Amino acid sequence: MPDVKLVNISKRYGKGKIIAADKVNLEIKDGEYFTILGPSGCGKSTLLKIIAGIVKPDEGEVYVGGKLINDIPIEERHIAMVFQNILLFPHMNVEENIGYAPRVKGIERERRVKIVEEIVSMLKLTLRSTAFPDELSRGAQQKVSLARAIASETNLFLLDEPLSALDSRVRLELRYELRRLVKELGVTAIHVTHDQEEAMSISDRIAIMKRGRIIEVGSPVELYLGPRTIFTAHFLGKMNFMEGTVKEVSKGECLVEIFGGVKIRTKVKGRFLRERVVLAIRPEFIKLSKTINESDQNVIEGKIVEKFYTGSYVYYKVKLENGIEVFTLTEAKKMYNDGDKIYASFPPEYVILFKYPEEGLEKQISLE
Amino acid sequence: MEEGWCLSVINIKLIGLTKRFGTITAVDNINLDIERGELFTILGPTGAGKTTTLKLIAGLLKPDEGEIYFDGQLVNDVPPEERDVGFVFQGYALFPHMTVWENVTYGPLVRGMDPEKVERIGREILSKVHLLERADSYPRELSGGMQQRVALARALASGSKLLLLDEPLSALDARLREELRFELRNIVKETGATAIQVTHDKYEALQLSDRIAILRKGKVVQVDTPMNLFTKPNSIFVANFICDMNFFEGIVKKVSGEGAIIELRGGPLVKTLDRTHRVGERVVVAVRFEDVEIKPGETKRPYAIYGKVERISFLGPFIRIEVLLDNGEEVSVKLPATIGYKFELGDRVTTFLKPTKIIVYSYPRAGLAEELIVE
Amino acid sequence: MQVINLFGKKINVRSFLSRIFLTATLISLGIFVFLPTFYLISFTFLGWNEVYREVFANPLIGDEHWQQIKGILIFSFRIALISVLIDILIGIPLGYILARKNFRGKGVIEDLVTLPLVIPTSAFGFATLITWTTIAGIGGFLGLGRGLVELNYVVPIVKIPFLILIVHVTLTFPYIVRIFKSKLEELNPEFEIASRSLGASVFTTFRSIAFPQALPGLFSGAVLAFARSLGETGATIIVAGVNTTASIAIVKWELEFKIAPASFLGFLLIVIASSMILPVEYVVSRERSTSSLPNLTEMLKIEKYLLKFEKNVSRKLYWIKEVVSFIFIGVCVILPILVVLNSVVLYWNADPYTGKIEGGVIYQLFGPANYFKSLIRATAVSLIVAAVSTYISVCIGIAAVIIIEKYRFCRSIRSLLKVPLVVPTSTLGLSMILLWGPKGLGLVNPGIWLIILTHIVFSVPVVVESTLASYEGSDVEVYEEAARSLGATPYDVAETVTLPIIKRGIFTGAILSFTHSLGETGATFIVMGRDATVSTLVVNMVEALAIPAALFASTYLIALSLILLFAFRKISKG
Repeated sequence: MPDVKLVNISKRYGKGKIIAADKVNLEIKDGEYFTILGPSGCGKSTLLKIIAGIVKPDEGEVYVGGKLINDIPIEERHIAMVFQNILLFPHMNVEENIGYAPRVKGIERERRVKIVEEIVSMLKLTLRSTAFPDELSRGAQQKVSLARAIASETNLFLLDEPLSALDSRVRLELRYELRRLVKELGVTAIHVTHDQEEAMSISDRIAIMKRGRIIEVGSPVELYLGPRTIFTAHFLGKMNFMEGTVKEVSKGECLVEIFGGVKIRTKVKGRFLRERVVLAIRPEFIKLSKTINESDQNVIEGKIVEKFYTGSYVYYKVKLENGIEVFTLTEAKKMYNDGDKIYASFPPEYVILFKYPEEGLEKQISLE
Repeated sequence: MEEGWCLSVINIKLIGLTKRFGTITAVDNINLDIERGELFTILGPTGAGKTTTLKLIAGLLKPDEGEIYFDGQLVNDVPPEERDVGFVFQGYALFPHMTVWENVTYGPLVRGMDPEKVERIGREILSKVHLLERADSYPRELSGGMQQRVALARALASGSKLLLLDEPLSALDARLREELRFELRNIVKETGATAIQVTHDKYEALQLSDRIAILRKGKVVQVDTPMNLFTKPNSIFVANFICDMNFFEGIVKKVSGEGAIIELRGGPLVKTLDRTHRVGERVVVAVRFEDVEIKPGETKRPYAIYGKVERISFLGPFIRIEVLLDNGEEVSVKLPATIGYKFELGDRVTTFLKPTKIIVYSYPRAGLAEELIVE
Repeated sequence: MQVINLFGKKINVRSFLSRIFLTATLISLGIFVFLPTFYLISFTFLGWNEVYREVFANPLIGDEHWQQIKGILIFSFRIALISVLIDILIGIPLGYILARKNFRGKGVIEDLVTLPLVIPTSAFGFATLITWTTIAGIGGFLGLGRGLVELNYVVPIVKIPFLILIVHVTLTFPYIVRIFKSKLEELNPEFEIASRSLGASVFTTFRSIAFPQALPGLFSGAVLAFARSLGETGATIIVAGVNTTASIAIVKWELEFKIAPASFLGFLLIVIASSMILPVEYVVSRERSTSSLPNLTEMLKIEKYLLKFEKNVSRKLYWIKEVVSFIFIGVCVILPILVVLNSVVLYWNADPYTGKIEGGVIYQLFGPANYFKSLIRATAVSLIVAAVSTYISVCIGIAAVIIIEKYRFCRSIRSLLKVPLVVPTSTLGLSMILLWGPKGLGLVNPGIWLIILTHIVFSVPVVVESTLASYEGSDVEVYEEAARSLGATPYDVAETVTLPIIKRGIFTGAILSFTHSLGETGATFIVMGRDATVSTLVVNMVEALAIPAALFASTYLIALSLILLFAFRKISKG
């Protein structure tokens, strides 16, 4: 059950042009399910490979359980890895694959078979132990690969985009399996992915990464409801952004004027008077109504432009009277149609205020 | 088959389409009717035969049985280069030795279009996908999202009225996919073309399609609008694939004018509005995560099922709570995060399955587990 | 779809044209490649009576020829077997290094591994000869005053002449290294990382994961190497001394007009070569390889000790494989070349030991023997032959690739095309003379045209293999589908998509075959008539004991090959 610490890890490729890791510092607690989340190319896989010993960092140290492991080769780091490409040995059957780690440790066949049986039942796998990987579905293959990792009886699990190569439906099921197993076994897990829904649903804490830098670290709820950066706000779930300028400030609240002279009231910490800002609000917090209610604040008139059906809830694209378009997430039973006139209200407690980013809003939230 | 037949395709009809590879029947007697201008999605697990179907329509594969009609004309013997389809391949298949411009203008040029017209179309399409400035770049210099747009532009440039999209977004990051999804729909709808897209991602299908056909092991299982598929899935497989569904085995205890009362394993009873099953029949009760009511503590109410909170997952706007019921089974509940945050691990809770939302299926011959396999 | 009316029948123009194309290609392949390869078989059958009489029931010597043939075959087999075994020992570590490691000068090592495939065999044989047996080589360097090894020195235990062995090993090891290396490269290296993450040391990983999967490659490379050794002629002629291998025997008998035993031996060699290649091709094309290796070590109860041993070796002795491989390449490939270069300089003006000008390079080239003139003429012949045969081979080769990819029944052509590569070159020469020459169709006499026809036989397979490798390695099919969906006819597709993408493969095939043609000795020797190429000129020079001239010619040829090889690498990587 080790804890893992990365201190000032840096790694560059392509003669210094590509920055995979830029002075990364991370602390992962013992027994935690920790996810590193970011767009493709942000360096998350590189970090995992540095922890595994597959890649050597240019600078920095890696500590596992308090011990410096920079110079220890892969096979002696006591890790269990699960890969995006699954990587079950194609010339070995299920039993031989799962039993591989015990075998290279020198454990005899009888004991190995018992270990394999135990793990197969823990994962509720219902397949022949003599089957070869290419006879199994991809989801089953990845489960076997998980079993193979568990059989090495180590306490640090490194999962490199373990679900990305699977069908989306299979991903939904397997992700909860991952968390269940990790918690049952009491191991520390570091999971790398680009899928924010996956990260939020199974992690204890998430580190958001972009272009080699850690942007923010926090629990899913913290990052979703109280993101400290615009990038995090945009990357996790859906977010509406509105640019504006602060017009008035008083007692922890401010009035922001956005496009078209419309004013939004929201909470604020610190001095922002006359500064350019970005307001952010999640679609599910915008209230839609056919009439104006007394208790609603920050009400803006608008028109339903489009709707996107996701099952019991619907995303409405609403064009506000000032021309800005926002997405709302509303219960399907409140059926609105394209062209309906509507009132959208933005409760101040859910409006998040950010300083306008230097490089511009679009660049700040870009994923590539 | 008249000579020099070139076309403006609008609706597609597949009759009895079958394709085998050795002993495997990849496409099994498919019948589909796709209307003009429709954005039609074929949804199913990998290996269900979706890409094969698309390639049969494009003429890149020859069917073993069955016919394909474009606007009433039989096209089985028309070679792919004469079917006038715009195909977006799964890996994009951008010609690596040609620039973006050359890729996009390939179709019109090879069909012998007037060079001036080609120039105009190339500029128009590239502007539409915001890639005019990269016209001289090579595919390997572009990011995944950009390559996808070039692939789309190339398919659109030929001006064909039928677009075939093979998992157009699956090679992209989850987040990027979500963004490009809507752009894709807008561009396709703008051209007015009929579009058939293929995917394994149910969100994509639900959000973008006019109608969806669910494919399983080469066969069409259900064809309907997203809303109907969601509210009235015709089988356990579809219900499991499209919705987030709880399934319980049960036996019909009593049938009245209102509906059946069903006993679940271990004794708890649920009330349903189903009138298609008889007393003593083995059934499967299906209810969506969001259609399960959950209240803290144990409140007495008819048809309540009690349990303990086992797992809580945060999904952003929603929270999913897995409850270990007293009868040993598990039920998942999905509710808005603003309400769900109140629950904690280990809490005793009362769950209630909303009768108006319960769907009852006959117990499948192959067994419930088999029907729930999504691969 | 264009349909025209021809003689009252409706014919689809496109399928008509493709059928003509298919037929023309098959005919060309038949005439230029397969007929010569297999002709000896039919020749022997047709003239069986005469052959039988000469070989088995000769009025003068009874079945003496048959006894000789038996002895020679056993001798050649022994050489081939031992060579292949040594090749495997060297090939595994070398293949592993080239597949998995990156280091400065890796390109040079790869070139040196490719060199024996294209080096003029006669020049190379000569270089090896002087390196080991004369004072100009190692012997002189060590101050021994003579050659290190005697010409006919036989290695104990295996009872094979040292020179022949070293030449065969050097000329055949590339087959094993290249195929093993490419099989390893095909393997996703992440499998080995997965194995290590599960606790296995580097050596254990190699034994359990990489090796079993690359084994089919090793096997098929071994077969090719074996067949190549059986057929090796050019270098063997020079270093054989008093020994006779099968391919040399064919040359000797042909020069003595003893056609019957020569053709019978050739017939036997072709049958053996084909019956080895074709089954192996079939086995290798099947996907699943064996996992029985790990189980074997377990059954022998040595698994535990093996694991420990591998762990230690991985940590401490990992550098051994590099050392062994590099020593081998240094001694067998680089050294002879250096020696030749050195000697040319040494012998430039006069024999350095006797001081006689007659023993100097300049004298021999420009003096009474006037080898320079022959060299110029031979160079012209070599270049013309190489250029023309390569050009024709590329044309036939591209057509062959198209039909192999398009028609399922043509897939077997690919395996069949491996046979000309392993048939002994002297056999091929004999076949050509008997087929086209005065005794056969009487269409072509020995001379430059017959040389060209002969070189086409082994150049076409080279071009085809290289192009196919490029075709399959680059997913061209996906792009072809895309092009067709955009409205391109099959002809458009080939012109605008397929050819541009695979042209690199075609170029490398062309360069390989050009270089090989320059250096080919065995077959050329038989069919050349009075038109000598540079490589056969070397043989003549050696036999006439004009050593300095041979030195010069060899250096010149080797340098040419090296330059072409360099170009080959630049293009194939570029």
